[in-house]
Amino acid sequence: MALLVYVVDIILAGDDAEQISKVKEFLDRKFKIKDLGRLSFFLGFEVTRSKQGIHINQRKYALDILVDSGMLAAKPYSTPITKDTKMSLDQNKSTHEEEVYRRAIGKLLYLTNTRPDINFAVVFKSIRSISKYTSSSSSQPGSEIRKGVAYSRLVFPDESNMKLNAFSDSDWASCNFTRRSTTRFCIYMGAALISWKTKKQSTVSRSSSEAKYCALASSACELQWIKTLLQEL
Amino acid sequence: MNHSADECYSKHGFPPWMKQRYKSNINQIETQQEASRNMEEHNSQKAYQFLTSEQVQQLLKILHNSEQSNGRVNIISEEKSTQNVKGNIFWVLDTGAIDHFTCLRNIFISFRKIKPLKINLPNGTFVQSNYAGTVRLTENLTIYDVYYVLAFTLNIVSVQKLITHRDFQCVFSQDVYQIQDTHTLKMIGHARLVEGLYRVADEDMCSVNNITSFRTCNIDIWHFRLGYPSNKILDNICKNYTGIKYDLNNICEYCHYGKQHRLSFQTSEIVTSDIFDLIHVDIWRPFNISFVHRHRYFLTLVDDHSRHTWVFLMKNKSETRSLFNNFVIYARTQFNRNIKIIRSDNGSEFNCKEFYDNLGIIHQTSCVETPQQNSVVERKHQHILNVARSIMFHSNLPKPFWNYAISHVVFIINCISSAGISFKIPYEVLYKQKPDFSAFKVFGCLCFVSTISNNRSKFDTRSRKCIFLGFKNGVKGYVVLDTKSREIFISRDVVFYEETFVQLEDQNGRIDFEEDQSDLLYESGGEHINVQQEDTHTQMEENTPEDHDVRRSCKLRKAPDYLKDYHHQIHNSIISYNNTQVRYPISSVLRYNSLNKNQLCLIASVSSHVEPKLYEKAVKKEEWRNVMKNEIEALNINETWSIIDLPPGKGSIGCKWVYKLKFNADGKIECYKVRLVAKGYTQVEGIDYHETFSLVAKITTIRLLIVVATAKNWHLDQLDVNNAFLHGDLDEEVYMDLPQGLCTEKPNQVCRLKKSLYGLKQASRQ
Repeated sequence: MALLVYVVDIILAGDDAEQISKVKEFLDRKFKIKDLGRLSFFLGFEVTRSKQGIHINQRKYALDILVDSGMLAAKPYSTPITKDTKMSLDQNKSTHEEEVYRRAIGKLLYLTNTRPDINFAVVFKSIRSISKYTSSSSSQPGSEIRKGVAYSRLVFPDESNMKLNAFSDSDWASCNFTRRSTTRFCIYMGAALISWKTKKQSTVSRSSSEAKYCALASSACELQWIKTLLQEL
Repeated sequence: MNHSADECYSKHGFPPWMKQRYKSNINQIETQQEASRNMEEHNSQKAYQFLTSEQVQQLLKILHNSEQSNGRVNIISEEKSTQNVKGNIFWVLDTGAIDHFTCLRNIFISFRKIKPLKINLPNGTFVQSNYAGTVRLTENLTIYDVYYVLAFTLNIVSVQKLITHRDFQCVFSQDVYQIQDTHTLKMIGHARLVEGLYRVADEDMCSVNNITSFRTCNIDIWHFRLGYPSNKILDNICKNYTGIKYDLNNICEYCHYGKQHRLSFQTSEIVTSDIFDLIHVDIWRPFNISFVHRHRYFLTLVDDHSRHTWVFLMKNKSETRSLFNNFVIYARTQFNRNIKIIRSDNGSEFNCKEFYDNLGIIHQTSCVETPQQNSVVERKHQHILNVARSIMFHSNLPKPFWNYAISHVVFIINCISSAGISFKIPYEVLYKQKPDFSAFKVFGCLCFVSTISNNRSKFDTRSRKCIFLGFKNGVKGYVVLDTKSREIFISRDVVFYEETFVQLEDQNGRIDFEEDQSDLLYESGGEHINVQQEDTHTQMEENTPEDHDVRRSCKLRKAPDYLKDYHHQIHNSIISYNNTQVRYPISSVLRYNSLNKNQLCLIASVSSHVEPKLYEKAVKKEEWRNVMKNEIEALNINETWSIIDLPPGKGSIGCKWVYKLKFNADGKIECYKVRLVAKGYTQVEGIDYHETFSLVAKITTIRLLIVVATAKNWHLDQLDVNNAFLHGDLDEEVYMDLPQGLCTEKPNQVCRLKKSLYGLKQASRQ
């Protein structure tokens, strides 16, 4: 039995239907509660259940991004980022462009919740936007969005195996300007990918193994948190 | 021409059947071919013989049998002649040869490879032939199984083979050898005696072309190769090139797609027997010309019997109906005739069924896009315009005078003979009298009009310099235009200089036309024009054509009153709203035409119900007033605030009503939603709020929960808390202005917020 609250939205999960309805009654007495039935749309995630498991995607959110940026009719890119994208310093970037760019990055960051594959590209570019760097080739926020938005779904297969697996790596000195390394990890529970991260490290590593240790530490941290959470459930 | 001595009839005497003779009235010299050896010798005998084909064939059989013993071929060609013809395509008729031979391969229409054939030559040698084919000798004479022998130096036609295989008969004469069709006795070919050889005459020979691969060709291929020529052309080509064949009856689809044109219309032979039996009608308008009297349309009526033409100038197409009516009365009064049939195109202005029915007139219309069916009047237009153009260019008058020119032209062509009615004069047919040409003058010529005496002083000019513009019906006088004052008037005291034309000098501005008559063009609508009014002034700017823009009304367009209960905004855009004030109307890019009725209702509803932005607007509507009242009551019940005086030294934040409409799928309003929000952006940090963050679940947690739910097969339910923000208790001291619509006893009172409200900075953390 678990109750998850996100401001005004609540998910109730449990194996006992009676218990669930009791909780609902209690909450309804305390506040005024609207029962929306089966979980289907939560925080922009569309949740569907099938025999294979649960699928979540952000179709509507992705479409909204496209509508907002006026890229609805744009031709989609098949790759989120090109292989040799280099960052360079661009002082001429206007503030308006900067704002639009950052907004686009922010929207795409939320999209990474179901799109781990674009995570790297988005984070890579977000680092750039925050540190006021831009690549000379593609400073158009539109092109970034076009690259990012092609919604797919994340599948949580129906599997009773609840073993946690974590994979971690680092990219040593990947940032050209600060020479900091990038942490990457992903954690599976059974066959379902539940957590991932691509993040620039806060310190400069002097060797690749040092960077890898840092990455390992963050993934261990995340694992520990998940373990605690699972124990609570 | 050689044969063995034992078969020479001249030596041994003619066989008895040769005595049978046909007396033919065809003046031809016939001889028996077997007797040809010593033709020259027998010339003196003038033995005119005509044999039936059976006889010839019998003869040939005998000859053939006799030759068997001698070997296959007994050709001996004179060496001297073969030298000459080497490389040429002479065909030599040989009575002794068993087969046709040729030495040229490219003259075959078709040929095939055969089993090598040994050919005995008279000198005891052999030659070999590997090919046999078909050769077309003359247009009507094709020989088959021609053997190709490279060693030969001339082409040989075997008379025997020619005759045995086809229904031909051959006639030898002194120097001509004729081949005839047995049945028709038509001459198919002939050979002349040249250097002792009977050569097939050159003029009969088909031109030999090098096209040798016809046999495999599709019969249409030449039609395609030569670019889809018509049968007529192909026929012509085939005559010159024997190899090219075509199928007359073949249907070539692409010819039709590519070249088909409209079938020509046959000229109607039917001419009505009496005047006014059939009237042809059409309306036309010239583009980009503003006329002197602001006429815009020409209504042309042509009487079918007399071809008399009337042109009425109109300002609007709607005048057509009344002009029709007038015309019917005119015909009845003047000519005592009733109009029986009116023929027009499909213009809607002619579509007045009631009018026709009342008068018993039959209305005939042409097919869509087929003006040819209305040819009489269309042809008349062409005529009118051709003449009008000529006189306009000659007279150098500016374009606005076109209507005068046209009226004058109609007057003229009514008085001259018309080809359509076998060169009778329309005027004469109609009025039964000859037109009077004495008054005719050249249009647009210079003339001087004497001034009327009571309008002039002693020192004024005695005449005005004018331009002749035609006649007015019913007035014995001339319509003239004053070159200086631009006045158009009628006078009879005119002196003409028909070879002189004046240029109207004032071209750089407005030229005002003053008229002492309402309309000087005859038979016009008769609408009175006030000449002094601004809008009767006609601008004449040929030099600045961009000023020919249509003048647009400045009147504000308003929807009619009867529509006020309906939502017509959308319909305005559906009907391409011809609001000329808008240069680029949105209706050209946005239309609702394709929506179905339900969607249209939804759109109409959505666009007609506007969510108010301001309290002042919303309060006018009862629905909004009610929901606002309910909202305030709900807030009071929830004890959101207490109304107190604002303590000194404290500021208050504003608040605002936000209105929202919710629609059902069918466009009906589901509910009026209203919410009171505090203007949280006026809050000051540290005084009105301290912290703004609030705890939420980590996204990973959500994912984790879903995964666990999947693995354990849990239920997943979703809940939503109504008015979640309104439940939080407020710790800070926040004062808010009274919401609009809430009245208190005392002025300057504010709400002290006890509970959280939408819009407050700290709302989400309570």
